[in-house]
Amino acid sequence: MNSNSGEESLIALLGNPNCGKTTLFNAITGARQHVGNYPGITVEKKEGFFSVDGRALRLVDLPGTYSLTAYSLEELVARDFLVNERPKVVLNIVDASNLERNLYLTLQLLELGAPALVVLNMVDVAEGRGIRIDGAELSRRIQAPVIPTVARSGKGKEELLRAAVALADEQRTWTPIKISYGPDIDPVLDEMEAMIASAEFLTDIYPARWTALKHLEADEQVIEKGREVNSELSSKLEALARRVTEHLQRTLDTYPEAIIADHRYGYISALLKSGVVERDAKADRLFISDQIDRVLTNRFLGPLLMFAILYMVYQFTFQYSELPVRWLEDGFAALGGFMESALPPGPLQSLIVTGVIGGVGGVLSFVPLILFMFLAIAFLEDTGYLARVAYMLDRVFRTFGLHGSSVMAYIVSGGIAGGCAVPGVMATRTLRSSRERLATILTAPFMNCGAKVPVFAMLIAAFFSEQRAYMLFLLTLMSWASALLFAKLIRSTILRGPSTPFLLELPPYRLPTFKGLLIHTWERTWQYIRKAGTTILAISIIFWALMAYPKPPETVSRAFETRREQVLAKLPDDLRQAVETGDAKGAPAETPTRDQTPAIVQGAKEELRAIAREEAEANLKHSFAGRAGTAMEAVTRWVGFDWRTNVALTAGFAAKELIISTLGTAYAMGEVPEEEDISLSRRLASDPDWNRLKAFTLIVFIMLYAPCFITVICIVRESGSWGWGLFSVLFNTGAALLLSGAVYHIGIWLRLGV
Amino acid sequence: MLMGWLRKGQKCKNCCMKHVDEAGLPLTDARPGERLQVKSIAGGRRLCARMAALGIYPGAELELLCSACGAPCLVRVHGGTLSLGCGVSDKILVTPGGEVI
Repeated sequence: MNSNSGEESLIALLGNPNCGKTTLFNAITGARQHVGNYPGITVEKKEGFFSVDGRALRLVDLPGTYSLTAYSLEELVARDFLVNERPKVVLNIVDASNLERNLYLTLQLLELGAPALVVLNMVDVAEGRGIRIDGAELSRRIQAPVIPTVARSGKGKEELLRAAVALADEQRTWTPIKISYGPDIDPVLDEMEAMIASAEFLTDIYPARWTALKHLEADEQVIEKGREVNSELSSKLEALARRVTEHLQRTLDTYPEAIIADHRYGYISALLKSGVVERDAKADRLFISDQIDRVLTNRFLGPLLMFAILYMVYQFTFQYSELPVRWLEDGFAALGGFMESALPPGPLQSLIVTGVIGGVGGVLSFVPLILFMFLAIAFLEDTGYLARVAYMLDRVFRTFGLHGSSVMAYIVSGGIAGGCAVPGVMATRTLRSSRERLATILTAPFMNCGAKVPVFAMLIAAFFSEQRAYMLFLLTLMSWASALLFAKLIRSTILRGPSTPFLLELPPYRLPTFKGLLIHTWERTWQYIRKAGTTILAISIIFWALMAYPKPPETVSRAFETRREQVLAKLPDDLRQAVETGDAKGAPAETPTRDQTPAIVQGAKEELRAIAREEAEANLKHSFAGRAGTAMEAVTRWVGFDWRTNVALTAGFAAKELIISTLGTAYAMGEVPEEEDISLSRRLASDPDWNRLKAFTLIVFIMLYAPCFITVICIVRESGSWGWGLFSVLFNTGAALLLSGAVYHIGIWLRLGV
Repeated sequence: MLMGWLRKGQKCKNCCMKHVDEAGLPLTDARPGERLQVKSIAGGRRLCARMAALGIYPGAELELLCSACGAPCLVRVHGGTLSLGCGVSDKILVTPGGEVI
């Protein structure tokens, strides 16, 4: 955010939400845009570069706002950008079909004195509603250029750009317009303005009258700033403002804001009177959008259709991404296999195959999933349906301190078993208020994602094989219940505070533009690839090292070596050759000669394989992860987990899929591929240490405990702080310990599971 | 299950403002499909200003599209449709009437 004028002229895009601002931005900049965040906050900052007649221009898409008074983060960001960066031109997008309200923002922009160019967008929609606007006359009255456009089709874009360049060339100084606010406000406003101007109070940032007005409107940010600069004058201004407020309260039972708003709307209706706006009274007032709404937000049909549509989104995301995800996984597996054969066995091979390719591959395999999810959400968002979902579900979610829009994040995270918390956490971007958004981000990982489901399936197959379907349904209910209840808990403790009043504009239904959808989807996906990719590489290497090092002392590996030699020594010489060439490490070697080799060779191979598995178990137990697992027994004994489970759960923090394979290694089962978890399942079922209660306790724990680190990284990115990432790890694990402990001990008390 | 949730408590908890007088009727108690005029906003100054920015201010005309849908109110103001939570629509006092735009 540098303010160097350089050669690029800075142009800002300002407008109400849903006025077609982003569509226009995309139409102008195309793919040449850059998405980032404003420093320290989650409001997206979009920038694009383009040129007109050789002139380089930088276009910044400000967040959608209804006013320039600091009532929300978006408004604050937009205002600060305008006054600090001083754009050469502010393109103020105005929805022609909702002119009065949109001009409310325009008026404030003009009061600020910014060089405004009014973009009369969606003139086609307005005409469809029988509204015709005389742009030239409006331009004459507000003393600023007015260009009619249809951003969707790009109509009027060229004229707009030429007008913008012309305005930038004028190098106009910021000249605020003066609006009269009536006999109650004007005298004090003039008095304050004079005081501010003579003291040069904040005049380097705001026009004097604007500062005075903000004091009357009780704008906290401006008042705060004023106190820092000149506390004496500031308190005088505040006293004046207080006096007016009290007077208005006493005589008219109203606030200055109401009077100010009233005069602004009065000014607007005067602007539009006699000739600017023509309304065709015959035009059908019941627009298509309203007719669609009659069905889609119908009291009875609405919720049913909503569930059907959300289910379709879910199906679309996971079904269509399944194949590409598998291709990527296979591709990375093949790459891993290739590196395994190309590199000599040893630490380097292990690092590259397991740490780098395994870790990064695991993350990049998610990309198709993320892509389809964002495409589906972009579609729902751009059509305007997502706003209706929020509207319909708000009552239910509000009870738990959440917002109607939270449902999307929950469902994508695995509200219907099999989702993924990574896109789920990212789906909270549609939520505007930060408390509800954070609570949603923190609880979405409680849902049963696609990586937890195989673990549950394995445990259910081992211990609850008769109640399979029932158990999965129960687990889905449990995860919803815990997510909602923990959300309630979070919202009534650390994120306490009133729910933001539900105020949402339902934009008219529109068919999204293909270009808009693609840009929307791609920019979000690319952010995932770039940012998550780098951090995840580092963490997966750390996890690899934790599970591979330190190696057990020489004596242990020598002991395994001796046992191997003993097995080989028992064999006759010629057969020993066959066993050794098969694979000394004992990996299954399906040689074509298998049937011809005597049973004694098969037996020896089995023995070697068993030794290798035991060695892997010993290595794992000796590694940092194994030791940590053993140390954790002190706590986890309380919920009945031994070191094997602990190591598996620790690995599950890297990726929940790893729980099964690590458990396999820890039980000396060898690496258990996900599809062949039957053997592990049988092994656990026959283990005297395991029973139904322990299995159920583990299921509850896995459902709730720390999200995988990919999710944690996303939480950090979305919440803007590492603190919340750490919190999610600790809080969720604490919740998991508490609840699974309760299950375990109540179970023991009731003598269940025996 | 959700249907039950939605149908239950179609009125807001705070809707017990039975005294309909000169001050007007809370938006939550108005009949859907009616054209209404905003009389006043019975909330703090912040709410007043926010509502004004959204086009709801004393004197503004609006049409209540749907009130007891078990969800927030749906209002049409100028050309746009707004959905307002109960906490908000409760504080918007209206009188019937107003010209059809």
